[in-house]
Amino acid sequence: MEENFAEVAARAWEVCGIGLLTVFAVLIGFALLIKLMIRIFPAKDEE
Amino acid sequence: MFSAIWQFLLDFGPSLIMMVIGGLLIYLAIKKEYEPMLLLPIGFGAILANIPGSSAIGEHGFLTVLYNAGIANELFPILIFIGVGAMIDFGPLLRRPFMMFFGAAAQFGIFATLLAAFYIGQLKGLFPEGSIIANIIPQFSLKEAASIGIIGAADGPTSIYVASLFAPKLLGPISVAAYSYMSLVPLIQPPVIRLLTTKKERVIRMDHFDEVKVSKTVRILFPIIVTVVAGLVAPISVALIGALMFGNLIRECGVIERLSKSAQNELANLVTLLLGITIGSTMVAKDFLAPSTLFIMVMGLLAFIFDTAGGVMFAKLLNLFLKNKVNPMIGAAGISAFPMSARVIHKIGLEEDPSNYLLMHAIGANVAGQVGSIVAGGVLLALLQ
Repeated sequence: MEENFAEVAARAWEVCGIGLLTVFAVLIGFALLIKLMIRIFPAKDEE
Repeated sequence: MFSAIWQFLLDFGPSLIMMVIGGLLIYLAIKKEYEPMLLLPIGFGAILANIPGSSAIGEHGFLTVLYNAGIANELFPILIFIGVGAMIDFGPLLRRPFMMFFGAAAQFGIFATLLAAFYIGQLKGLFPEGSIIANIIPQFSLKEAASIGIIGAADGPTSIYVASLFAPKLLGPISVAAYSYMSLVPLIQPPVIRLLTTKKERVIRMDHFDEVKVSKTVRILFPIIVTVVAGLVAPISVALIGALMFGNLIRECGVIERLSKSAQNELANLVTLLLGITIGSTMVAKDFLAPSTLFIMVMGLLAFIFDTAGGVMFAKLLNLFLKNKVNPMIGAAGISAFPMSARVIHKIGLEEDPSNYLLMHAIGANVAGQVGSIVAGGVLLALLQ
């Protein structure tokens, strides 16, 4: 039981660590994509 | 006579308590205007479900039919997302992509609360075995802890979506906590922000941040590309993000105005109504009147506090490296509660310096938070499925 808890606790930390890093990575990726799209498709004056 | 009343209370007391709770939610919705669109139907659903012998629940009860048709298969939250997507203007974020940092940082509360909910069961060890306190401390599984943590998404449909998959028994308290605290953002965020920032930091101006013009092409491509990229990273999140971005695409494309208006109004309103009353029907006494509900409410509050702290502290961290400083309060707007959080930040900014207008920056961070919360929900689903 103790060992089982330790395993699940390790999994919880892993989920939180990887989860938060993934959220950062994906959102920073989106930010870079937006910058790239704005450079490729700049707004015309009438927009 | 006395024993008959006592027996009645024993038999129906829990149901009566639930009906009072339902009434309280209706009171908060009407009198205090706390998320009335959701809390009122939830409150009434709770009353309907707890009337002894109610025909609204059970095999052929209309609320059970609605539950199976829209919650058990996650359909209602997905439909809500189409409406929400059609309502969101990503413009303030597209003009300031930098704000994505805060949309990510303010999801800290989800993961911190997941850990807190998971470890809470360990408190049992501090009390003698079999004691009352040891008995009331709940032990949450990892999936249940994740469902509680997702309250920190500050995003009702995401919380409902994740909870209905990972912890259907906790759906009632999780939904109530998520919507209650969203409406309490103006009370929760200011003290946390003031605690973590100095007066000097709160008056930082952000006029030096460039605003780029965004073309219609970018506005149209954004929802499509985000869906594809997020789908490749976490395929299980496609339903969540895809529905939101589909709603946004029909808004931005400009050629299906009628559908966009329908998604924003008829679809969103109708599904919100059904979603609320159906969630209320899950608040039956035997599930809701448990110590775990109290713990979930406390954890939900913690999640919002951790979110706010995560956003503010990350902005302060960035300021160590930036030449043009960011007002750290903007970090707190990275939660998904839109536009409440942005308004709160703008208001505090004006209180500190009446000529410092932070609203558009805060809205950019707030919109980033909407994207961030759904991504976080999708990531949790992918990691724990």
